[in-house]
Amino acid sequence: MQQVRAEHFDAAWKWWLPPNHSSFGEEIDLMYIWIFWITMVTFVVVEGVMVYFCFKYRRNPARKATYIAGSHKLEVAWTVIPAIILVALGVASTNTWAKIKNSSDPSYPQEFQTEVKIAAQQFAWNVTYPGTDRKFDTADDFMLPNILNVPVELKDGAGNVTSEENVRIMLSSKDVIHSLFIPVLRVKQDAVPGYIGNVWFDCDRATYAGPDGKHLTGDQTYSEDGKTLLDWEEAYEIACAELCGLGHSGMRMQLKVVPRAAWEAWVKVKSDEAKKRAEGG
Amino acid sequence: MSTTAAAPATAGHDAGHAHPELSFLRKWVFSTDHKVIGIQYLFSCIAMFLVGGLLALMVRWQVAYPAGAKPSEEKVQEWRDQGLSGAALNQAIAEFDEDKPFPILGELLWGEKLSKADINAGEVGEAGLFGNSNGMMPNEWYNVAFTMHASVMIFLVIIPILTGAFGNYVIPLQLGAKDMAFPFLNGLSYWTWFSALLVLVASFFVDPAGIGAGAGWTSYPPLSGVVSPSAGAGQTLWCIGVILGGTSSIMGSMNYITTIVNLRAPGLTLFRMPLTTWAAFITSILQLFATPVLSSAMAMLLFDRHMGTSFFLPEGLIFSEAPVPNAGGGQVILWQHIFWFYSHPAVYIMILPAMGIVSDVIAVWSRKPIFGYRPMVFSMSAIAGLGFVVWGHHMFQSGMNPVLGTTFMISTIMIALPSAVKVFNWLGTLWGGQITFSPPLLFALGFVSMFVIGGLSGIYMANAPFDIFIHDTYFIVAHIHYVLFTGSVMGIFAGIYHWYPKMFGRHMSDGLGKIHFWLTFSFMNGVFFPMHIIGLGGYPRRYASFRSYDFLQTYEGMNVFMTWCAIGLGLSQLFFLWNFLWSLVAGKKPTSDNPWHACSLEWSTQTPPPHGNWIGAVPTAYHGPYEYSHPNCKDEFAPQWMPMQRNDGGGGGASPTAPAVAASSAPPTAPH
Ligand code: HEM
Ligand SMILES: [Cu+2]
Ligand SMILES: [Cu+2]
Repeated sequence: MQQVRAEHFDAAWKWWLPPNHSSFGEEIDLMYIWIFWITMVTFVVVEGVMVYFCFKYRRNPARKATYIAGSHKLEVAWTVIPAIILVALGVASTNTWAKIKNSSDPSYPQEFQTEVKIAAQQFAWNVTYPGTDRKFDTADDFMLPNILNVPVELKDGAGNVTSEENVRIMLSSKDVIHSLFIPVLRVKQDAVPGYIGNVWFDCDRATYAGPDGKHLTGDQTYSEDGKTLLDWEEAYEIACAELCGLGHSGMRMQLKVVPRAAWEAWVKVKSDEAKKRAEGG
Repeated sequence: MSTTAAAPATAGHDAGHAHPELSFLRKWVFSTDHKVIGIQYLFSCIAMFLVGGLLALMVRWQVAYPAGAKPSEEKVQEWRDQGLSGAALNQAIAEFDEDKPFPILGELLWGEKLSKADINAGEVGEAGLFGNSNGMMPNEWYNVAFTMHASVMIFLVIIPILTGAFGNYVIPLQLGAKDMAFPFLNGLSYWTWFSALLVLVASFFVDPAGIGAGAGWTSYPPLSGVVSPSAGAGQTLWCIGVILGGTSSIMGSMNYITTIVNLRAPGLTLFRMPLTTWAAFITSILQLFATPVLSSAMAMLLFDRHMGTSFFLPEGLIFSEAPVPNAGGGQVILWQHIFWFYSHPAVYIMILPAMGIVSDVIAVWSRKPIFGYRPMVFSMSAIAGLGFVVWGHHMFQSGMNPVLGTTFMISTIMIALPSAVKVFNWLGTLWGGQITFSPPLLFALGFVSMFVIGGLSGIYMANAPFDIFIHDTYFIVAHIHYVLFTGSVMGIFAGIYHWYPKMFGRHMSDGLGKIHFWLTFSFMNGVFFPMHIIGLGGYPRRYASFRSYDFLQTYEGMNVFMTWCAIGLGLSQLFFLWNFLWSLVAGKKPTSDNPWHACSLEWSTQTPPPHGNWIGAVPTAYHGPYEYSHPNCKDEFAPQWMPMQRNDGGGGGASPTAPAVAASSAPPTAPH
């Protein structure tokens, strides 16, 4: 994990936000930067005026206070100008919102390269993979607690990913409400019992850049038995963000974003195990 | 209002009643006098403020000193350099133990701190007062502490002190009314609230398995809706306590609305009411419409827990490996809709009265009329109206239909507008004034400057896409404390320092008040400002420990800093407590009934006001409540209860500093 942790805090700081590795995350961060500057300017102006007035109009017996009971012009100005800015901010963010959350919106992805199911419970995430046949509810499905591994197509040796590698998670809960929070992907969605929520992301950075911390190419698998992949320490962290009981703050999951060939080798090993179990049992 | 209707205007209130001298119990305990009830609320709420504050310190303690410290990367590297590897290295990591119990108290309450090696060797340390968990606070305590901290502060401090203490004490006096419209209902409302207090406090002690309610003040089911270790008997009492508190609110708000509509003094039109009373009026309407919804939600939750219904529990729910028998057909998110339909208006119930108080305080202490009095009233009304259509902004990530999310985003953005308008009008009120930095004014300015931060952080969260990232992180915690602590609580302090002389016939010490302000102001920013930063780093709220996450390790230092600032903040309140209590017996006596030269009606009567509020007739209001520094006025201010004396000799009445009774020599109109 060391590498990811270091990156989290040293590099790519955008005004206290952790680095972002998802495609829609950039749009979210852009909204933040806009709001940040708009509110900072407002803050400095308002506090500045207040401090100035406090100094300028401090009690002075030689003077009488000026009787000013209001001003229509000012009221209109300071209602209309913020209104315009705020509405513009709202309108600017509707598209991003629809793209991330609204599955009936045209900008919502139509295709998902990878699908998994996650069922949350006190205090673990049960991740179900569809196996080699890519279909759920078949014998080669396998379930792993607290491990989310997803494949990507690499663009270069530095861990950057080709565009459009959409992962879909079908999220549910067995007991209480939990919330799937992936800080570096700007993902958060409550896991609600009795309801299946869809979450998607498009991660643009692999968690791993080679066995010796150097380069990695897309056709390398490193492992036939899937072990190496699991041994890689580097991972993004996934947290639970909705109070779910006494173990809430320990409900951690790892996300590993790895080259497709390696991932497929690993899925095959796991799927075969599952099939063997199904036949044997 | 029977009490005054019978009273001949000139004969004085008591003569009208002709009741015998009241027993101590009727006069001070089961009183129906709005001033006594207001003071009862004030004292009870200050006591609960201490309880809520101690719970907050427990929360901060756990957050900064959690168990499970891990070795740092440098430490691991050091071990590697020493030649450790493989199993030996793993063992070193597993045996690493640098948990720091909270200084002194940790071991006192939760037992002796032993090293992991000692524990593995089977040693047992000496137990502490609350148990033996190696000097560290257990998670159950933490969950109960943050749940009850919020519940106490919201239901037993901020709402009741604003509506119960200030509402009761100030409204009838500012209206020129002899009491509330329904004095008995008023007493009943206090005692119902007091029973809520007892039930909520009892929730700490009833649970054999746990130590109280621990599902958060929002108590989302199924966590709260099924009897389980996280939600045992304490949770049940919590629901009952909230219903009782709500019932009291409903009684109180009906009373305030009726009083304001019917019992205004002659001449006191709605638009001559001071903003404190306007705020109380609008708040009461919010309470009357919102609170019944909360009470029914609590009733439904109780039914789910104990009577086999399934309002909030869906099919197939599994708790600790076993199916929940009554689950089926319920909707988990339904709770959130109902809860926030109350609780969003509730956040305005917690801020509007403080906005009213702050407006009055700023006008008096800068000798200026309120800038934009009517826009102030309209913006409060707009906040109240819009407050009913924004509740979904708490549910952006809940799985609610995303199209609804867009709607709620727009309405939420709109609600920031009236808040901004109010801030600008406060600045306008300071503009050109004669500002005296008394404790009430300092707290009012503190309110304005810090409410700005809370309002601006609201804009970040109102933005649904960015809320994806900051929802349920410490950013929210920063927001709520900037609006509620550095906002509402500062407003409450401003009100206490401002009206104390009228309430108790004594002055508080200015010097102590200023020390209290500066310490509070500094420490509160030390506690709450860094929460924005850790929230932006993705630190989730309600986390007993950051230890399991690598990305949170870096915030340990900030957590410790915030915790010590919180301790400083708590200690600073001792200056207030001492000042408040000591001044009751030893404070300077005011030399006039209107020591601040204020214009609204509460300053026209004796100090403290007698039973019935005015000896003789109630005053008449001749103009608005903020005629300070009027250019045509002979005096520096023109009290509402006498016609303005003009420079050119027009107008009439006596000098504003003359005793108030003289003022009511204006022909008394039969009250109502
Ligand atoms: C200026 C306008 C305001 C806006 C735009 C605003 C917006 C929001 C939003 C969007 C949330 C939900 C955040 C989330 O959970 O992701 C929120 C939470 C909250 N707000 Fe505000 N807010 C404003 C003013 C206030 C005021 C005046 C108060 C109270 C005095 C207040 C008290 C709260 C509380 C208590 C919560 C958190 C509830 C919880 O989850 O425990 N807000 N606010
Ligand atoms: Cu959780
Ligand atoms: Cu809200």
